[in-house]
Amino acid sequence: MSRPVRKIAEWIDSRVGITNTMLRPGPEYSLNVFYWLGALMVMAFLLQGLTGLLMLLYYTPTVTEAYSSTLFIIKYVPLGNLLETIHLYSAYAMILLAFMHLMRGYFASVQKKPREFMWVVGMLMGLVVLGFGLTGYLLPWTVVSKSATDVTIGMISFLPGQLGPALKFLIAGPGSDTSELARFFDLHVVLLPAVFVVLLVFKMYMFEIHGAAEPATGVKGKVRNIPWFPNILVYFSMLSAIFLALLVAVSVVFPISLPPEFNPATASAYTPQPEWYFLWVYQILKFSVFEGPSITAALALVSVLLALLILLPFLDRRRERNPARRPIYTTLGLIAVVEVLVLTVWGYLTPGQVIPDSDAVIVTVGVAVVISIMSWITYRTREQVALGLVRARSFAAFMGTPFRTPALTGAFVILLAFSSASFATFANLIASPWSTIFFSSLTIAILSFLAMVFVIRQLVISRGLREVER
Amino acid sequence: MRLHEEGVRVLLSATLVVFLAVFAVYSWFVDLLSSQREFGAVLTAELVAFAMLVYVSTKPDYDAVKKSWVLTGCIALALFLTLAFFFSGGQP
Repeated sequence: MSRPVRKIAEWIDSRVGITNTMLRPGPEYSLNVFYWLGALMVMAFLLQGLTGLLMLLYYTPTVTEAYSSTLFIIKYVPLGNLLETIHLYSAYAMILLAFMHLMRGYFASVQKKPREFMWVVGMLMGLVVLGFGLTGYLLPWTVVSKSATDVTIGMISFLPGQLGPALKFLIAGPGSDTSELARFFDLHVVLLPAVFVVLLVFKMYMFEIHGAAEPATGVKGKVRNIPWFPNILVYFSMLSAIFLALLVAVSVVFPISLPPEFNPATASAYTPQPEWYFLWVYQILKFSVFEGPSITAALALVSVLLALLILLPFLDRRRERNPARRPIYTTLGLIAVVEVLVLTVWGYLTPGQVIPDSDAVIVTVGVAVVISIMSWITYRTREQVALGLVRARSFAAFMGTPFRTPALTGAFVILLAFSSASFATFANLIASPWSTIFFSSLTIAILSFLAMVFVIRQLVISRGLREVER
Repeated sequence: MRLHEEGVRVLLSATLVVFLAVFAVYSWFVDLLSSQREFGAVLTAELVAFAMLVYVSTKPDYDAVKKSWVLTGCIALALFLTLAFFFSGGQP
């Protein structure tokens, strides 16, 4: 901290007593952006609140005026377009940051003792964030948002037992458009923010007790603690400014435009598609095996996966936190991330299209197999390096082995082309949409690549073994 | 030598403070209905300048300031001011 800044901080502290607050000093290793993803998400939430409150001055939550009042904000209110755009993009940022925060927590195993309840509360906060997205999407009453919301509400009614009808009544009311919009508005503006704030206070309380989790790989030497004021506050101010700058920059370059107003007559011309963060679930529901009443099975599958994730701290009881020594959980996490990404892109490319079971199996199982093999090669190579059988080179350098000479690269390209084409023909996929061919070819290409890396690796290891024997 | 380096830091901080003040005043005169994108670009530049000011002025000495970060910030400032220039003159 420079001298003038320190003097200013001391001046403020002597008058406000800010260092005597409950905020405890933080470890030095926490001055890393990955430790601040949750805080940035809260920053996005505050921005949502601010922009949302300003829009509430003009927005009218009735079926007849929701669209026109939104259009009025965009066209005639000073900074209205920028406010709407920032509100939308900060919601996207909130969801993205929540996902990144979850993944960082998963791979660093922060859910282990004594932070089990912090994990559960964080997961509940993530669900509330998705609820914000779902409820806010309907409010402009556009043909796109209303059609997609109707599909979501239709899916909810397929939940097992009385859960479906009860949840449907809670979020959409007795069934009219008026009650649906009113419920969504109340949930978005009152209930969900209140629940989010209560959960946030609870999580912050636990955070103050347990502090930031140590890096999963451990800490070398003694941990130095630094005061919250001014050091950590200054660091967070800088991060927040960069985050807000990025958000405003994206809003300036890509301002939103409102789709047409919802009208039952024109709605049939649109293929309903949810927002990007629900596309992966939407894509699973489009698999032909889940068509019709079987949709309940798909919803049950997604619910079970979610429940497993929420209860993770009570399932994974081992003390080990280093991802290098947790191959199974790390591989499962990688598979989940890549599956979600692939399903999202796939869902975006095939709106309203039912996916044949064979294609669904090829893509989802293919991704799982590729990630598993990749993970296995990585962990085995690490073991061999530790035993001294393979020279300690970076994983990236190892994976680049097939491209080291023009001859190897040529052989590799021919192998990829033949294997992709033969597999696509064999599976009779040529007549299917291009996305299926693309994904199956990509899967085979990656598999071939991994197989080649594996063969080269075996050659290197056998040479190493011979050297050890000599 | 140390004094000279400290002088560079003071000069950089002072320049950023002046930048923040000038563009805060400038943004006051931007039409908030017809030039929203221009206002947004200026606001982005202000936020970047604020982040740079915090970064430069809170490091213990000038050696601890990474020059690549400062250069990245300067490029971002130039980029957003160029955007503001292109959006000026009525693009809602």
